[in-house]
Amino acid sequence: MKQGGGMSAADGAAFREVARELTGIALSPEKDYFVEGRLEAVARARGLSLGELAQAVRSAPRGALAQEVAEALLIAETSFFRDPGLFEVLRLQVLPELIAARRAERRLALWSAACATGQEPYSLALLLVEHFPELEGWDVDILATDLSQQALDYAASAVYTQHEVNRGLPARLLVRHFEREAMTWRPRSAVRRLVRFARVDLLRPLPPLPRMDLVLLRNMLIYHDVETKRGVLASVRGRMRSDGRLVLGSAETTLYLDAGFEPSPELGVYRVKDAPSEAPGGGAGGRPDAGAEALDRGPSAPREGVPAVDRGAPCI
Amino acid sequence: MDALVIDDSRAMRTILGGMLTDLGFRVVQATDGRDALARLAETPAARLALVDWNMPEMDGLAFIRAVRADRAYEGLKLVVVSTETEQAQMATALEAGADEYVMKPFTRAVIAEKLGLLGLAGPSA
Repeated sequence: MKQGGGMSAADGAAFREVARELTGIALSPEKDYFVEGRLEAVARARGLSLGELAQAVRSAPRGALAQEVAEALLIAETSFFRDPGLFEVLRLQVLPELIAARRAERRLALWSAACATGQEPYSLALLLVEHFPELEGWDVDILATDLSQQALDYAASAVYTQHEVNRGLPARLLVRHFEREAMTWRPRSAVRRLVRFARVDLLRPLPPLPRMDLVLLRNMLIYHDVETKRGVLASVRGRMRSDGRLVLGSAETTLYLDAGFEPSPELGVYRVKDAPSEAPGGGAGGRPDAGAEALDRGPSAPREGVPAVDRGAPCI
Repeated sequence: MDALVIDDSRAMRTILGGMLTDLGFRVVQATDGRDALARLAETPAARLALVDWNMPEMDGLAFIRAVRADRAYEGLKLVVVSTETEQAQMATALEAGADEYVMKPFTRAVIAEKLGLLGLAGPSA
């Protein structure tokens, strides 16, 4: 039966199966409108109908085209300063506390763990540049990771449309910290240089990472089952400082999933209360070895054990 | 909560007015800056004005300067909604007292998110 004018239920099921198999994301049939919307562009770019695209991924469910389909379904809607109340909490409460705690060592490690097309890590960078001048001279590192290579390529290019900068980005920050290039906008180098990108699969054993002071993991867990959520939370916690903070999406929680986190008074923010030592093979999904492949793509200039990538440059 | 929509285009007033109405605002329309000042005097409790830049009689920038010169409207949030997309012009509007700036074209989500930044998520939000 055709739905939404273009995609059959069987084709929808094929796409959902590819997404589940390659990314672990469980999309329900009710999300077929979303699947259709995302995949029309992929099909069109190949000169295929959605039905032909479905047939192609059925024929080669682990092939390059199937991977492209899965990635297209991963790219979440996002915007600069999505949930402005949360960024106010970061500005007024969380970051001042972390900065005070790190004053002696003068380094701060932040991780946007499901960064999609980059608006979240650049929002963090904008927050730091705009409101925390005392960080001048600190070693500030914002690691931005995602499973989708398409999303990461877009994020690393740092070129945003007028529509994207219209959304959620305060005009004062746009004027002060972006450069306009024809009809597109780009964060200035002072912002871009704070952020580096890498492909990381949170469902697999994580590659070596610095111990994080703050992790943003928003609107990723909601797509996964309980066991996967538990695995991801434990894995992420294993890469956090003992007083680190985790930020989840408004519909997500650590409660009943990971006792190693405790809720902060600030909504959506969780504190580590039990940071395990680095556990080898600590990935979430029982698919060994693959998480590390991601960072290998970057130039290998280790920075305290971290495979470093050039900041602000397309690096993966 | 009262809001002004100030634009010389009837179509644009209708679009923006519809969006604000959906968000729970009572909307008053004005066709240019001078008309808006008169409407504002009749609607002193207005919390928000969406204002176009290029209009006859009195343009958006002159309106913003007039409002910011009058302490009676201290609590009024001013959002420019304009086809002008040069950074220098945005900076001029912000320096004159605009609180936010939306480039045309825009979507409902853009307007809602800008209002969220100003603490005006909408009475029905």
